[in-house]
Amino acid sequence: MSLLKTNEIQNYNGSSLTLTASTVSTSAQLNTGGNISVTGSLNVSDDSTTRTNLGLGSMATQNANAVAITGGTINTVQPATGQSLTIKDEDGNTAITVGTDNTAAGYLSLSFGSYHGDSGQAGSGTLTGNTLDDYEEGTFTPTFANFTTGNGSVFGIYRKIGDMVTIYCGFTLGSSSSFLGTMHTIGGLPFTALSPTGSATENNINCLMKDVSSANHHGFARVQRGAATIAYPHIDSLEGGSNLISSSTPFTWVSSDNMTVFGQYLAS
Amino acid sequence: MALTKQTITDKIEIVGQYNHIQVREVIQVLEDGNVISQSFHRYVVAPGETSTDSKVSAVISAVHTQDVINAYQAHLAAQNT
Repeated sequence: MSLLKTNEIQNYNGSSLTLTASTVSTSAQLNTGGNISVTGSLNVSDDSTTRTNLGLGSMATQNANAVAITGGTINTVQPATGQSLTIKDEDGNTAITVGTDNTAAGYLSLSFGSYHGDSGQAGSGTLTGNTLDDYEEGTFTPTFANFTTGNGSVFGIYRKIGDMVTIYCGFTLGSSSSFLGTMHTIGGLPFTALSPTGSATENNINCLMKDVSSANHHGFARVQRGAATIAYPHIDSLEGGSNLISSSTPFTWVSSDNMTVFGQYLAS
Repeated sequence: MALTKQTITDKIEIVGQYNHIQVREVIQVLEDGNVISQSFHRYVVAPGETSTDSKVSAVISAVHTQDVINAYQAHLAAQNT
């Protein structure tokens, strides 16, 4: 074996230089003002510096249990087409899921119980006050006592944030809708109301009854404690008697007249 | 490209002193078997009420005993005017 020592090797015409050997090695840097093309593998002993020189950062470290993303900024993390993106906690439980745009899952799904609105409270023992432990929205089908919908319509939607439930529901009379008596309850609520101990009152609910040929009438009702029912929708301040909603109260109902109910209550 | 709709009972909860059964249904619209839209619908089964859903009926049988039904009726009566 012969040893050739030189400071520079240059192809005679200044174009590419081909080194043909089973292994080409250097103990220091291999520099070129042009490109280095490697048909086989490229092995380097100083991985960290090489990643930095190549602009790969620590993300390029393979087989690492913990990959620290250092330096620079990340503007986008995008999963492959058709795949959701999941972020898990240290126990492997899903905390955040970004769904795909063609699945039914919420586009951003948080694992509730682990979202805290004020991270500064972490570890102080007062985290509960800053925790959003539930959010849900959907529909429900209210049932109006002594009322036959016929070809009219009913609707009900809810939003639940934490244990506070907001409901919005109502009905519109059709030509075959009818009252059979006093509307003493509205059932079918989406969640059971809290039943506090003691003599705490029920949750107040507002009602609006629209006589399409005349005026609007305002009324009130209450969500019964420990139940999924609104009791005694009525007009005026006094609950009961002739103030309860019926075929003639607060007006004689005809087709297209409607009633909406809106309010909030604490879920059990 | 076939569109279908299905309703699945995806959550059954027993809440409160009187074992109210809260039921959540997920209503899904599928295209060629893939879910493209969904929404929630809820209802509550109070003690003494029935359900056409077999899973809910099984829960009713387990938790709405006659004692619970009686206690709930008394609870409602106490709130009525």
